[in-house]
Amino acid sequence: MPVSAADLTTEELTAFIEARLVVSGFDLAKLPTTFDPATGVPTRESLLASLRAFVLATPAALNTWRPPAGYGPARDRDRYAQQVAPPLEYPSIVEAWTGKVGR
Amino acid sequence: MVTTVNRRTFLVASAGAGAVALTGLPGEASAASSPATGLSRKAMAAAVRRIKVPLVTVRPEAVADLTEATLAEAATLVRRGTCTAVELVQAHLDRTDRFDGVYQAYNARTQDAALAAARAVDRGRRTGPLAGIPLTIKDNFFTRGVPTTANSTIFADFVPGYDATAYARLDAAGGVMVGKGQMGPLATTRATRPNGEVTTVNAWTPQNPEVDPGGSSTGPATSVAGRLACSSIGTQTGGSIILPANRQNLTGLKPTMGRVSLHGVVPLTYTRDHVGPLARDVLDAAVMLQVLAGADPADPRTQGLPAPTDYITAALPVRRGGRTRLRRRTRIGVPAGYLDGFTGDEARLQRAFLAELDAIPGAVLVDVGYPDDWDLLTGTFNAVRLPERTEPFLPVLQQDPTAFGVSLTSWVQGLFLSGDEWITGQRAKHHLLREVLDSVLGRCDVLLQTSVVPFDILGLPEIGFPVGFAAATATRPETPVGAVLGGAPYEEGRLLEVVAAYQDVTDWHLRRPADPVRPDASLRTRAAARPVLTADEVARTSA
Repeated sequence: MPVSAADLTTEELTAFIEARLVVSGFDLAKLPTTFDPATGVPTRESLLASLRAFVLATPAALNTWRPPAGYGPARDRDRYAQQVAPPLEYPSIVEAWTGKVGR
Repeated sequence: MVTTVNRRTFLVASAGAGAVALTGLPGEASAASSPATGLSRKAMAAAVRRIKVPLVTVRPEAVADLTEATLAEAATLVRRGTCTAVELVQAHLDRTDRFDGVYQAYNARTQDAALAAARAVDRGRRTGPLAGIPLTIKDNFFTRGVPTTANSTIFADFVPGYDATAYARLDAAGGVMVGKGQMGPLATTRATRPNGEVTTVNAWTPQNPEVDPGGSSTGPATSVAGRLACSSIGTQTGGSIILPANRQNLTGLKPTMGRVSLHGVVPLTYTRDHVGPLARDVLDAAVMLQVLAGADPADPRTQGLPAPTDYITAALPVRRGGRTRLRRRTRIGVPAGYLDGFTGDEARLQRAFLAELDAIPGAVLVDVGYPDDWDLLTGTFNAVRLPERTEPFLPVLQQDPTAFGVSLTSWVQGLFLSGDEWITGQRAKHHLLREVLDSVLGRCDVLLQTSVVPFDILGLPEIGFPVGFAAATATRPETPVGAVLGGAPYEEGRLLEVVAAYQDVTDWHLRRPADPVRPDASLRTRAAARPVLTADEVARTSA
C-alpha cells in the first residue's frame, strides 16, 4: 500500500507546509493573525488551513496519474507509459508547428 | 476609486516614458515600440490599417443614441459622416459620467486623450478600421503613459513605458481608448478591490451587486453592456472572457493560444492566458479579432502559425432564398448530458437554443461523449496552472505577501506542486489534446462547452454568445443566459460562422439593459452595499 498525504497528522502536515514556505522564502509571519479588512489577505491560520486541504487533495491526484500506454501487458504498463504523451506546455501551438492544422 | 488621467498627466507620463527610452536604459522602451518589436510595429500598423470593416445598415436606435450602436454601426456612421468621431466618443464619455458611479466599470479614465484622438480622426490624421471607436482596455494591458494596475496593490504605481502589442494594434487601427477596465485583482475573480470588496456590477442588475457579472474581465464587459464603450478587450485564463460575455449578453471570443500576442499583458498563467474581445455581437467580435490577430516578434507563441483568416467575412450571415444558412455545413457536437447542467428557466432556454440551431440549414447537431478521464483531467488537473502564477510573482510573495490582498492563496498554492507534478500536468495536456482532437472533435467541427476550463487548458478557441434571458426569481432578477462553442486550433472562423447564423435568426444580442438608477440622497435612494469576497471564495473561484 503506497504512503499517502492522508496518513500525515495535522501537525506533520502543518510542519511540512511551514518548512516549504521557508524554503521558498515566504515568511508566514508577514500575514496578520486576525482578519485585516483593509487588505483582505488571509490570516496565517486560514492560509495554513487552506494549504492543508490543497496538499491533501491535489498533488496525489496528479502524481498517481500516468497516460495510458495502450500497449503491452499490465506489468509493463508504467514502462510503456513513459513513451507516450511527452509534456506540452502549449499543445494547440504544437499542433500548428507540426503541420497538423492550417493546411 | 476611478483614476482620471487627464491629458496633461497623460502627456507628461508619455514624455517621461520617451525620455527614459532616450537614455537607452536596459529593459526600457522607446515611446513607439516595445523592447523586442522595434520597427516591426510599423509593418504591423500598416497591416491593420488595411483591414476593411463593411458598411452596415444602421438601426434607427443607433442613429438616435450613438451609445446604442454596435462597433460596425458606429464605424459606418463615422465613415458616412452621419456623426463625427468626437460626437461618438463624447456620447460614451457623457454616459460614463452619468452611470459609472453605479457600474464602476473603470479604474482609470482617459477622457482628454480620447477626445484628442477623436479630433485627430475627424481631421483625417488618424485612420483605420476602428477610427474613432471608443474602446475599453482591461487594466492588465500595458498602456504607455497610462497607469496599468491589474487592479492590484502590486502594480499600484506602475506606468508602462510601452503599449501591449494587442493594444498597440487597436491604437494603430484608429481605436480610441476611453478607459482602463476594472478587473479582478491580477485577473483572478470578478472585479473587486484588492481587499475583496466588490466594485463592478452586472450592467443588467446594477441595483443588485450580488449578481455575478462574470470575471475577471468584468469592467470591459460591463462597459460594453452598459454602453460606456463600443467594444473592449479582456484576457482569459479560466473563463474570464467567455463568462462575463455570457452573463452580460455579449459576444466574447477567446482565440486559440498564439493567435493574439500576450506581450505587455500582466501574466496570470503563461500557458493559459489569452487575449480576446468582449463585443456587442459576432461581427464586432470578428472585427476586433481581425485587428488583434497576427504574429508578434515579441511573442514567440504567435510565430509560425497559420495566418489569420478572414474573420469579418466569416461573421457575416449567409442567406439563400431568403433563409439564413450556415456558410458551410458544420457538425455541432452536443456533449452527453449537456442539458443536465442547467436547471429551471436556463434549461428551457438551452433547449430552445438547440432547436433554433438545429433548424438552421447547414447545421448538424451530433451527440458526442467525453473520454473516461475527462472529469479528472479538466477538474483536479486544473491546479497545474498554479505554479505558473507563483513563479513570476515570487519576489513579491517573499517581500510583502499582503500586497496580494484577498487573492493571495492561489499564489501560495503554487508552491505546493513539485516540478515532477507540473511535468505530469503538461503530459496530461498532451493526452487530453489528443483525446479532444482525435476523438471528440473527430466527430464534430465545433463543440458546445459544459465548462470553459478544458479549452483554456488546451489553448483552443471558444466563443460565448447570448441565447436568452432567465426569468426573475424570488432571489434573482432577470439575467442573461449564454452558450459557449469551442473549436479546433485556429478555427475561429468556423465559430464565427455558426454564431453569425444564429444571431441572424435571433435578436438576443440586440437587447440592452435599462439605465441604472443613480443613488440620489434627495430621493432617499441608496446604492446597495457591495458584498465582500473572502480569501477562500477567491481561491475556490479563481481563474
